Amino acid sequence: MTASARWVGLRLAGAVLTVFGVAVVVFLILRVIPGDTITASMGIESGTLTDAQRAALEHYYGLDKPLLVQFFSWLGQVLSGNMGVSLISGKSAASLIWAALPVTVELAVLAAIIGTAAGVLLGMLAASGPGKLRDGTAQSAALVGLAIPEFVLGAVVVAVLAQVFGYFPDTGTFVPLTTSVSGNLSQMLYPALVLSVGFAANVMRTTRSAAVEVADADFVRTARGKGVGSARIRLRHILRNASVPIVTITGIQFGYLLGGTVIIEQIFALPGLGRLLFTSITNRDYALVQSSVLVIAAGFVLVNLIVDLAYRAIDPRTRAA
Amino acid sequence: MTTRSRRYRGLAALTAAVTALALAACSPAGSQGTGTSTSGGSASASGSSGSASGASTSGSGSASTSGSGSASGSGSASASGSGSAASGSSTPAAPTGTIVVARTADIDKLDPHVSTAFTTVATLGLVYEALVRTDDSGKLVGSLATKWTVADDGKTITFDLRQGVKWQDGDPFTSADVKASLERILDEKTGAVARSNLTMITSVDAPDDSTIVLHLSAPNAAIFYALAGVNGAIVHDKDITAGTVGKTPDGTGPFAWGSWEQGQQVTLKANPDYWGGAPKVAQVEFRVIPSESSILSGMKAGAFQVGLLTDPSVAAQANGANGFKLVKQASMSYHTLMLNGRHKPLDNLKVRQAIACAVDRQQVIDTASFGDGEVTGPITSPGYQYSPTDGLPCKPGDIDGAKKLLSESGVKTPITLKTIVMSDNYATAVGEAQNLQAQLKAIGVNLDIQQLPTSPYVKAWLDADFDAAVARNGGSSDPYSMYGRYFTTDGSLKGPAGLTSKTLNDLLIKGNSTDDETVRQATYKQLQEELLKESPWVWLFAEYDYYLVSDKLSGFTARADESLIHLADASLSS
Repeated sequence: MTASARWVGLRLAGAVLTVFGVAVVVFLILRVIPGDTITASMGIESGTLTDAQRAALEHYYGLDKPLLVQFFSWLGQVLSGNMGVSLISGKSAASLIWAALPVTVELAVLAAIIGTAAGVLLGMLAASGPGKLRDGTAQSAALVGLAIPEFVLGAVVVAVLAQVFGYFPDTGTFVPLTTSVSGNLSQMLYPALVLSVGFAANVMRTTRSAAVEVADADFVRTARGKGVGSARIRLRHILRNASVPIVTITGIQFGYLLGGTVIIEQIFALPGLGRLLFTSITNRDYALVQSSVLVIAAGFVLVNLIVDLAYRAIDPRTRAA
Repeated sequence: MTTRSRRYRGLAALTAAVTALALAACSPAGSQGTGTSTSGGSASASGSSGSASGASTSGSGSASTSGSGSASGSGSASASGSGSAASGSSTPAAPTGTIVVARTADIDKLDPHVSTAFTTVATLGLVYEALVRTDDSGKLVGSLATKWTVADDGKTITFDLRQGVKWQDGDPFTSADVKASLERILDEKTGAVARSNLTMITSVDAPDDSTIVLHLSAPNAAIFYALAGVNGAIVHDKDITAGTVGKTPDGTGPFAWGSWEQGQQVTLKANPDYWGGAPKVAQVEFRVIPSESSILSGMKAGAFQVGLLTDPSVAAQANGANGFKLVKQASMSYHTLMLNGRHKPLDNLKVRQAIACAVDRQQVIDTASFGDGEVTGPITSPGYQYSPTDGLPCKPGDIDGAKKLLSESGVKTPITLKTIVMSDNYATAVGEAQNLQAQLKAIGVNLDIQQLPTSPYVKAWLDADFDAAVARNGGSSDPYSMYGRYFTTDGSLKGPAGLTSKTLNDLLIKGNSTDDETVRQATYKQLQEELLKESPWVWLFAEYDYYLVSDKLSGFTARADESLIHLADASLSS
């Protein structure tokens, strides 16, 4: 128990360090790339500013303070919960991020559910007859799914829906799931489906190879010899023992989705974290970029932590380590 | 057995759930598609008051160009103003329907005086008004001022303000608002965009509620253009005192501020008290759809009534679509290859001329812009159009002529030019750079292309850290506003302009110091020829803006300055 607690404690400390490291790196990169909030918002018009105007704007944006002061005042605001103030909108970064986060998390969760379900089903199907037609078909489908970039698939889906069905996903104000399930899904289902294709392909390939490997194990032959039904063998014996790599790939991909929905959010006009990050980078909205990346990094670290904990639940052998 | 049946039940439940999701996702779609486009606006109502407002602009237009002694002009303006109000009240049908406008970018701020982004300027331009504005042909007409008089020495301008105009909160508009607004623009701390063009204002007087007097340090004709538009917007003095400018827009324009959900949409509501007659739709919604091909798809599905595009390759796919039309509007923004005449060997006139001659402009348009665009000279102001190439020593695309100039220059070829290109801001940039590279190779000029994202590009551009720059610059209805900043000796952008010339400076000052239209036309024609002769830059083409306009929307027309003011004249049919 204490060993377990120490393990969790160590992982948490590592997680906090990782997130802090990300914060420092992002802060520095933002300051190193040329151009600042003023040139980003005014473009070439910033050349017409007088020195006094520029100084006034730099003061307004807080760009006149030393870097260390900028960094720690932002960090202080992060710890106090408002995560700094967006230079462009004047709202707190926290309020903007909390508004965008549910969109991205829901998108990632939906894509992960669809992708995992489809991937595991197809993977088990393929593994049930290695080398047979269904295996080849499922593997080729997965290859195609991996090869098509999201932006192509997303654009094609949008174009086909519009051209053939006269349908365009609702782009009005984002409808949370708690307000209206159908309204929410009319905005989220198609982007989630597009995202789930690549997700499913990865899960399918991992499931297949893990299941094929486990299917050759002695205990499976023993179970079969004892007369256990083939469905039970697949679920309880093969899938259960193949689940560690499946959980790993699902976790990694889910973490990736938290920060990787930018393109899909652009195509489907969803106000998620990816788009918030994209526009805030374009605007050099420093506090907002830093805090968004921080939240994405924290999410990624958290998912990894959960995956590690899941190993211990799934596979008793890892608890010893 | 039990396991097997449980497994199948699970599968069945999954299938049912997926089907339900798909149905749930599709069913509101149909109702939403028709829901946004229903409206009860009647076509006849839009026609009559549309023409009335047209009369009002031409009436005050005559007032503006004559400058002084324009009592009759202002009379006709006020008469037609009340006329359009009357026609508005004689058709009592309440405005209904929502125009949904899809565009790729969101607005970035709410303070009109510091706005530069096209989306922000176009949106706030429906809410705020200035003393004067430009009409569709680029001519100055009255807006919150009905007429103005320039004193004989050109140093005092008196504006008569429109009566009976109300702010959104019901307060009357007075000269105090104008004085406070102009002083806010002139205050360095505001960081106002228009300030650098208005520094000649020494003081602003408000002798009574309906008169404003500007005192200038020197005569200046471009001042009216600097006062026009969103950057010269008149804001409510109460908002300035309360510090709420830039938080909640409060204007006098045809639309009242509704709401802004950042990154998603801006909603404007019809202003029923608008002095020019209330809009014929209840509201306008600007949706942010970051992908242009998604905008096109949304138009095909009837989800939007107006879609704004800039990418010629996407616009090309809109040809022949049903339910909406593609409108190509020539813009005042122009594409150019800027040369840095302070770097060797570009300080040599013949080298610059050789480069300017070697480039076949139409070929750039055809390869980089799908043939969309118009070959242009320096001045893109609609009121000041001259031959795009008169003044060049040879015809564009004349390789032999260019080679001859280059050999006369005494400069050894090949020449290599560090050329900066904005890689992420507009669709045609890299294509233009590559075509220019190919064309100029023929005369022994190598473009060393450096693709930069917007912010680094802007920095290099402002620091004049380039030999050549592929650029897309904004235009203006006024030639001085376009080039005064680049080619006068104290121009704020003389660094990136790359060339100082006394002749150019004098022509610009001369054109700007008079409002005599004959002198202005002759001077700016000379300016254009001098710019082409000096070839500080190679002017390529004026681009198109693309508007996808639903067949259900009538009365909306696009403008060269990208203003969306005609949304106020548009009506929807079901």
